Amino acid sequence: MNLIKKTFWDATGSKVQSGCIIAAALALAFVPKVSSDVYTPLFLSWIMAYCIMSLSWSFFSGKAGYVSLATASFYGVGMYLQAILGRELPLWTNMILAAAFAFCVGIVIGIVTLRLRGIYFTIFTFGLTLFLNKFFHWYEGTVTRTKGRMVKPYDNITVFYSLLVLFAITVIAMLLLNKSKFGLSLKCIGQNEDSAQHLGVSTTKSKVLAFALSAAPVGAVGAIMCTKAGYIDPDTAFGLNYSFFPVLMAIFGGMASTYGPIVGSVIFFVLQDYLLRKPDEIMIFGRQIVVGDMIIFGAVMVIVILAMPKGLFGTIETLIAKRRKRAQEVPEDA
Amino acid sequence: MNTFLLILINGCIQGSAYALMAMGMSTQYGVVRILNISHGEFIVIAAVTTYMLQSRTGLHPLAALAIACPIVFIISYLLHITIYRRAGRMSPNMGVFEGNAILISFGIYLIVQSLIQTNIGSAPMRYPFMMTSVNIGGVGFAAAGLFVMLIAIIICVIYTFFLSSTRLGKSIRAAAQDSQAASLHGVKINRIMALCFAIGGVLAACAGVLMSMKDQFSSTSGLGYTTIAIIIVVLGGLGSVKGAILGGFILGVVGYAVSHFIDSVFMISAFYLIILLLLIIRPKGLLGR
Amino acid sequence: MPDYESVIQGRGVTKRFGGMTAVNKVDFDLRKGEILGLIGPNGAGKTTLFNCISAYHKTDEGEITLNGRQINKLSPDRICKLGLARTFQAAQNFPDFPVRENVRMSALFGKKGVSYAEAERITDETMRFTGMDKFANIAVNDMPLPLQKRLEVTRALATQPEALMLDELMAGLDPAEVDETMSLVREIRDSGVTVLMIEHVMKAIMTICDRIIVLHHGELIAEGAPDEISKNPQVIEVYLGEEV
Repeated sequence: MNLIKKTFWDATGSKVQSGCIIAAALALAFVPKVSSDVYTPLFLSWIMAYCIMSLSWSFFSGKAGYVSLATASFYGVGMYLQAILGRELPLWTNMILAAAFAFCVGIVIGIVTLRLRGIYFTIFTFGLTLFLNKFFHWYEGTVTRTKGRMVKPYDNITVFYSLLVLFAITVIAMLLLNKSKFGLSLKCIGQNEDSAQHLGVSTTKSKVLAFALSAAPVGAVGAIMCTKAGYIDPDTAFGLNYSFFPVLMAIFGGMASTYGPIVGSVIFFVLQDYLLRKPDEIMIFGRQIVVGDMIIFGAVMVIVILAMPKGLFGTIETLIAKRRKRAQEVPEDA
Repeated sequence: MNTFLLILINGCIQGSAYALMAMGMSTQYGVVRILNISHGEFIVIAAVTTYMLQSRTGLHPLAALAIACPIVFIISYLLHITIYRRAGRMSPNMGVFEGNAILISFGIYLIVQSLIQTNIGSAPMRYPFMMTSVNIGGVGFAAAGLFVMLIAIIICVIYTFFLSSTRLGKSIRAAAQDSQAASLHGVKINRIMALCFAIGGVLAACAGVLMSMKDQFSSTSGLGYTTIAIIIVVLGGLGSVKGAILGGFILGVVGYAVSHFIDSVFMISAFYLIILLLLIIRPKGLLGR
Repeated sequence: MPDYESVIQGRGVTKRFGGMTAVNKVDFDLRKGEILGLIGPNGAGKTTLFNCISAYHKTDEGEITLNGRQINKLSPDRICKLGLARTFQAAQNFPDFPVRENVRMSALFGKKGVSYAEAERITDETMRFTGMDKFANIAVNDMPLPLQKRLEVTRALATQPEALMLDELMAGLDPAEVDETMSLVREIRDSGVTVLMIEHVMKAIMTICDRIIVLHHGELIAEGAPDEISKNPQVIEVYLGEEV
């Protein structure tokens, strides 16, 4: 217990911060007890799902500077794992299996691709998602002779708590890893890979491990959210949006801090939900947004990248830092 | 023998259209460093323009080039000077810019795709054009396809000639080699960049007009065209226009062979497999530097 | 049996780019405790040889050893951990980190299993040694060129190398700065680090080097003490018109 406490303290840095995190987690945990609306837990679940995905993305891509568009691949892999094993095994085993499986896929892809630099890596990961999409289309069509498959449903509360646990694990793991030598090595790679390697950073090892680690939680999210889809086919599992939205959310929030992607995901999902509900007042969570609203979404995407390179959280952080500096500059006897 | 001829010629017909699509993307990436996810949408815009023009006025589809090309040229040019140039100024280095450019072009893809779809729906479109068939070596080929191939090859030849022999083409190639050095030698780099991006768009428009003559398409076909173009550009070597042409014909023939012997569902998967293997074995592509 | 001990030894080192041979069958020894100068006209293959030693490029033929252990098949990070550090011609730093953090990264990753506390100590020591401690919190890209070069050396030193390779450390510096850098290189040698340096500033190389090797068109054309080199007819011919 003491060890856990100590690690947690180390990870979060300050008592205020860790206090805030615990309070937020507890508050979230009680939402289903307080709220009478059955949709609220599901709404929060989707937010958490996107938080986990954008956090994972920024852990590898944000630090190491390799733009990965493979998020949808891992998400889809997790979904299919749940769809296939869901009737035999309980959700939590599938979560672990999906995470482990995504991790292994990440290792393989990592070893194969991380020799590729810059744009080639991005293209490869982009192609990977499309390839898996087509592959599963072919698999469904010719091997199992189906179009998609039904998934054993779970209630919103189970899904909510599964994601809450996963979210907590992810946040703590990211905070810890950020401060570790491993996290630092990724930051070095992102700034200047050649220099990092010549100063003794084992770049290949760091990159492959980080890529695989960032895949694991996404796989688990896929396994969980699959149960809310009811029915999945390759297009729902390997949709390109699952690759691009987490990236956008992370950039919008700002990747310099762990909290950036979280803030970005919350704001973005609320926006997405609002755009979704506005035209016909129907809740279709998780499914693609009604087409016309993609215009606003695309515009927001462009504006975010152009106007907020540091992200929302980064901009706020610089403001706070500036204010703090100004406060320090005031002489104490004045 | 007949099968061979069938695959070769039909593959080349498909390949010539692919080559056009990829040439535009190759120009945009090779010089401006934008891997344009919205590329396919401009192909669709041109195809839809042709369809509208053909079904309303009955003019020859090639006439649509005169409308589609300027429209796409202007849109692309404006996109570059308003959005991408700003992104370029903001990015500390090329790597960051390339990443940002992909994301921006995905945003533009969402906007354009959505605009087309909400305005004309997603029903498949096709108009009748040269419905006869031509006999070559005992095998019948669609006349429309052969016509498309002819025009596409002419455009490819004109474009490579433009790059190799005109003053503007030479400064474009200089900018592709090294934009800083080129700007030192008096090439107006910003104007060249915007122009190249727009030229890439015009090539997409040409591809769209020609595609519409022989294939059915819909407002959601864009992403498919984009992915094929990306595959070809990587296959031929990022930024190499000749590589794009070669890659286009190779993929055309491979694709037709796969759909002839196995199944057309498997075609795209085969492309990805080729590209995934290529990226592992020879990442710079067939003709890449 | 030679009367010296080699830190780095190259035998028949060859590197080709396409059809061009940039480095052709070069033999060299970096003797323990010396300052070895590597000179030659532009395009002679000096930096390529450096890149082969630090495994930035793969060597096509030949063998390079560090303390008797073959290193030309290892990755750059392994070589660094074995005790060979280098600088780059154009400063290669971590732009998002301030100066001290840049040095700390080298201290932390340069050797296996360095703890945070040790890294802090090494960082402080190295920065004091090179005089960078006054600039600890400056953003690296705000620094003038001489300081950037000095930071480059500091970062390399923080990996606690046995041998250090310096690529054109003095290019672009004014005479006073060259003098400062020369005394820094001497101090580095006196602290027990063997130095191999590429340099174009002839005054510097002739004063501080114990030995010099000369490359021309990828081939080794001369080797010896500075005064021998400056009298070597082949070297004079290569540098025709330049004062050696």
